[in-house]
Amino acid sequence: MRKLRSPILAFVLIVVSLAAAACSDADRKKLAEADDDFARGVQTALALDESLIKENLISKDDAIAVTSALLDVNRLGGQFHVRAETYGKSGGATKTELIGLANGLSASVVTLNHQGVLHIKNPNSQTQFVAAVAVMQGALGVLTAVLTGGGK
Amino acid sequence: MNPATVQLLLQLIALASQLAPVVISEIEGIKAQGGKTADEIFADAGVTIAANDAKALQILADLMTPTE
Repeated sequence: MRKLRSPILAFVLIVVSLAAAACSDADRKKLAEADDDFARGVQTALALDESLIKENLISKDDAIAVTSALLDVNRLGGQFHVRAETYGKSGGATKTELIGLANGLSASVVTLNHQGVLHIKNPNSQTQFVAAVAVMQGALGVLTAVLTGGGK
Repeated sequence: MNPATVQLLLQLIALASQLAPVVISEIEGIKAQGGKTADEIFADAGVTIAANDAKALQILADLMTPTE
């Protein structure tokens, strides 16, 4: 019986380790996809911003405020991205660190939303901008759910 | 309507259906079918982030350039 316990224990440990690694890989992929979605949300908002400027639907000062807010969001997104890439790797970012970065990112998106509502006067353009911000917020929702172990 | 505007409208129509995280997770599923690894997706995101940064800086530079 004593001889049998060690191989069984070793087998159980291997199975548990493989399961843990699989979860980590799945979480990492979800993080990568949400990271990519977030970046594409910023890309779309920038395209809209550029279009508003070209069509003279936004004043220069308003455009500077919106573009600056987008730059801030993208830079914080970049900081999150650099650390998130290391998640699941030896010595990489921890969930706690990433949650902290995601919280900062979330606050910057709220500011961006306010800037858009305040500075984009054209109602249709404002709706489109809010939709682009909603994509970022949706991606943040996925990130937070993965990092807090809430599933998706 | 110029092609850039059409492209933007198409993107925004797509965005309108992405408001709920559950829809984004479906898009994730579609992307997963593409067979990309997490590292490849992170690499794509990195390229988009760098391009966003360059574009935002360019827009700001253009806005701050005095016009005649």
